[in-house]
Amino acid sequence: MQTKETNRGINSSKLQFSECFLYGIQTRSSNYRLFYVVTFLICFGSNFSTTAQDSLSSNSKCKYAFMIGPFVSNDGTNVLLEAQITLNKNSFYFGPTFSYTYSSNATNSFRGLKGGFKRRITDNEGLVGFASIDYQYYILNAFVKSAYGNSDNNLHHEFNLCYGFEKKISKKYGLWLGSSIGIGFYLENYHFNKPGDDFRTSGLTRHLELYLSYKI
Amino acid sequence: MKIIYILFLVLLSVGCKKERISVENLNGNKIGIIGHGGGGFGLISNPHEKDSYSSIVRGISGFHADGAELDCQLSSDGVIFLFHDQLLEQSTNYAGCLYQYDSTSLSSCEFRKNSSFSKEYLTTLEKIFSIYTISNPKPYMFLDVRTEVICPNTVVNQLAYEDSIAKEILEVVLRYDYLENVFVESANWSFLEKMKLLNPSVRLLYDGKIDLPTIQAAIAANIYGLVGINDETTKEQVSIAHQNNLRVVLFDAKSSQSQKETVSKWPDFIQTDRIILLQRILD
Repeated sequence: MQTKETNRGINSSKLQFSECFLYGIQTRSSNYRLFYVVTFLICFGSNFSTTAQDSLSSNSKCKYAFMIGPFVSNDGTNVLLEAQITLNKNSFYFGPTFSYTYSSNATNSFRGLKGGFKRRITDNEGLVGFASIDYQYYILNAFVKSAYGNSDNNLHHEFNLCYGFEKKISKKYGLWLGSSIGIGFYLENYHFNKPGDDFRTSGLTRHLELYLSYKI
Repeated sequence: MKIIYILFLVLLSVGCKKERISVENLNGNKIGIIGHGGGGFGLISNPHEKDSYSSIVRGISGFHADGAELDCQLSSDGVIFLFHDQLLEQSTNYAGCLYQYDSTSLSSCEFRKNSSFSKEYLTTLEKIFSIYTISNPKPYMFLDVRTEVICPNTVVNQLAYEDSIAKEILEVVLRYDYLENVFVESANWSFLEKMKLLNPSVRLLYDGKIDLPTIQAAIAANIYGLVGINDETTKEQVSIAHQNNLRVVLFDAKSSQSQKETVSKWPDFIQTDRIILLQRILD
């Protein structure tokens, strides 16, 4: 007879994409680590392929962009909605994030912010390579409000160093398709009912995002 | 290009209306979502080791699961530790079985797999109860008691072990006023009987196949319910158990399809590795 003691296998083929992406580093699985390395090399290669023709335009005009798209991080699958301001090679972006992963739980109001700094490395009129420092911040409701009335939220932070590219897909409409991949660390802070019981944990994580950008 | 814009707008604006799943069971017509081993086994949504403190916290406080399934084993000095495997070397830096060590030694027993920067040590049942005992409502704790102890080079008196772990579990449960939110499950009928004798109010679950002979045995033993594997349990069996006032807990449903099938059987609780997926299905 099969009971729980004999049936505890994990069918990793049934994992969702976001789970697969981060599974590698957190379980040291070679398959998913390979997936990560290959994706990174594609990003890296796409930048080198443009270096020879790099035009790094000296256009110092301030530019704006709005971005929307999904990204995967330690907190699962999310959607970003960001505004970006660019001056020369440097960009700053900021905006809210919406968690698909946490949206399933009605009791769990999930609020997030994301922002960062982006430095353009290559620019070949239609294919731009960049490196970025990305920060995310999430607020989750604590499990329950305790008898002591402590209703502090759980906080999640993530820092990632990313590498990516943007490809112009429509000159007429100013549309770009962007992607970046990165590695970093998370910090999770869980509040419990009694002050002093708080639990803090941190570790390595990865970051992958794909977005559609509208540049003005 | 206009087509791309239109498609994009359609994708943004289209929402899926989801029908709410109706359930009939003995748990107020709701299916309780219980994190397997705390927060699920080995998934990215909870990469922590099973039965670890981080995993349990992430499952309950992070994902807001209704409770956690915890594997209980006894140390040589009578402290309940949460550990799934038969032998410590399977997932920690120690070797042998947990019962060969006292609680002081086990406090430095470290999980090998660990996604966090800090070390993750074995945790005790008492520690978990202590942080959730003043929550209102308290998260459910399904204590999967390991009564078969196989220690290398050591002969263990199984009956004495069963007696000790039963008493210790009850002592911790009562100390933290957790009786109404605890379920003790085991595949060992004699252990369940011992628990029943110690305190008839403990909710006992038999972990085995949910067939007719088991249901009859459960009725005779006057226990609270049954735990079964999803694939081996039919909706009719769940219904028969419910007709006999036995709660049903199902586990081992990992894919989305499998989880939906489990939900369609109307169990009272599902012990899941994918808490968020199940929340989404039931939401």
